[in-house]
Amino acid sequence: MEKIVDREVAWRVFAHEFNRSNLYISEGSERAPNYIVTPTGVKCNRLFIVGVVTEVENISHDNNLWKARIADPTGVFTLYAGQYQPEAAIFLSELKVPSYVAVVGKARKYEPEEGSVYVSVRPEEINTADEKQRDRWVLDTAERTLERIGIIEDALSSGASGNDLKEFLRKKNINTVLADGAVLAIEHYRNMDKILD
Amino acid sequence: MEIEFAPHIEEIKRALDNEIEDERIRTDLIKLLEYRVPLAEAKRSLIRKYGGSEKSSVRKLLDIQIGDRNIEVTGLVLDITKKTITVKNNEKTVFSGIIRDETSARSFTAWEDFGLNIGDTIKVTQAYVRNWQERPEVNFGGRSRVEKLPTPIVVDHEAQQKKLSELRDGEINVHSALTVLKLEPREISTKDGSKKILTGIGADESTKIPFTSWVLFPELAIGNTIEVKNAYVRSFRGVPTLHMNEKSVVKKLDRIIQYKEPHKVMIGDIIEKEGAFDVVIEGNILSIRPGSGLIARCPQCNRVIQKSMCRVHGKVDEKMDMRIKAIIDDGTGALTLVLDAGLTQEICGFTIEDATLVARTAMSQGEVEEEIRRKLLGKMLGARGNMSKGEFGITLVASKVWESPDIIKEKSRELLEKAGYNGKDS
Repeated sequence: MEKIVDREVAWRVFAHEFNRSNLYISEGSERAPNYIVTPTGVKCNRLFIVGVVTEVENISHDNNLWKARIADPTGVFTLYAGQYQPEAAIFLSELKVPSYVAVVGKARKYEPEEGSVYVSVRPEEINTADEKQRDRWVLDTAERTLERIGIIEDALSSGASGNDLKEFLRKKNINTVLADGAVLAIEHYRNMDKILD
Repeated sequence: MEIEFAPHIEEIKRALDNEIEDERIRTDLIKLLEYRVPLAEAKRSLIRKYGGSEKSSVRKLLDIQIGDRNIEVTGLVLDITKKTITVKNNEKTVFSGIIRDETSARSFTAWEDFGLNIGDTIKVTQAYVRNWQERPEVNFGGRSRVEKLPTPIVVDHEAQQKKLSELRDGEINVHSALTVLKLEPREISTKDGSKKILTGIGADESTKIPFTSWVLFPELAIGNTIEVKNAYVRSFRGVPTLHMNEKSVVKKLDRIIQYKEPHKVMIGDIIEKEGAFDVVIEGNILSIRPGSGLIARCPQCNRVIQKSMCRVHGKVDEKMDMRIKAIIDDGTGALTLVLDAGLTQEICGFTIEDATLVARTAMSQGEVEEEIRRKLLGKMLGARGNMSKGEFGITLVASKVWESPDIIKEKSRELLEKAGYNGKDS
């Protein structure tokens, strides 16, 4: 049976971690998904956020491009919704600030020049949320993040790298995607100790 | 070309029963190699030429793979049935059955009459493996040689007992133990008239599994803990189901295996399995898929239809129904959650009639889907049901659904403890 492509998981990542990600990979062909690799090794194509919209701005009337800032306890996500996200654009244009929202979106990067990478979120789905949903998201995200920090710490203390490290993580029953991400993150991000604080 | 011929000639000779002069083999081999025949193929064809057979490679039944040729297996014949099949308009008698060694049991087909009986321990060379219903099956053909061994191999049944969670589609000669939780006699029609069977749900400590018994075993009664031998597993709608037939042995046990209600599982963990029965998950609704909301069905075949036209039954008096197909995601994995009309009403608070009214007012069935999206998108739901993998991806058909309770305080305490325990993080 032909295996259909599994749906990308919507990762739970705090804004602080997301925004300091500057590793961007795309696998193989043109239509392959692109990923942002975060410091804790999330190979992130899609993410889920519940936060507070603090600012909505129509930055281009011609393209009906809307920008929103969504705050979590650690920082702010930047969201762009344009002509290809009409529902999200309408939603944002009618939104009162501040308000709780839940967003499913794709991780995007913008690299105006070599070395300076800006990451943002392009919404797929957006809806109003409430305080409880936000609190629960913060907890779930903290839980997932702690798990990932644990994996990275294990990985670092193993001293292995590349395929050996992947093998090491697989033996510890760590999910392939996370193991993959951890290897990439450790190769890319220097002074991991500082980031983990 | 400098090749050391002696070892190859030795190898060829070993495969042959009759003595052939080295020099003849050597000449033939060199000739073939001059034709640029690959060495392996050259050796094979010479062995065939002199009437020998390549030595079969020994395989355990667990290790056989579809496409294996010329293998040697040794095992105990557990079951054998004579069958008449039609191959290219010719009737042919074959024997199919089950063979087991210490590693696994496999189905086999013997294309000749080798005089096999249940209980024989046999060594078969020149066997091959074919695909039978997506599973490897051992085949004994015209060139196979079957030798009955005087000493039966001992297959330790106790060692083979499996937990229900270890059962996989296609397994045969399954030995397991379970407690009967639910039992329902059913009458089905077969080609020999109607037949009474038993269906039900069984469980061991951690796993529930549906079962079907083609025989009315008196031991199968609600509350009984039974040991079953020589059962088999078939998947039904992606969920492994245990089957018992007249060849199965069912025994009531004195001890009771107590099933523990399922804990929540992470989606990332269950989607690595091929299917799961009665599991509990919790996650956020990230997308409401098309085809959710108010739908119309054919009253005869239940297919979803558009504009009162069924593709089988033509113009019909459509029957309204409601459902939700949504992506649920807990940060470790994602799957499609399916809710029927009852569960949709429970979670969204409107009935099919309400939904029909909404659709009529807005003059669009899509409005109901929009309403569901506004209500559920981003929310955290818990659900219980069966997970399966199919052509539409990974699906969990819910038997229950609920809004996640407010556990923020407990959860934050637990997390702080965890983080504190880890020391410096967070």
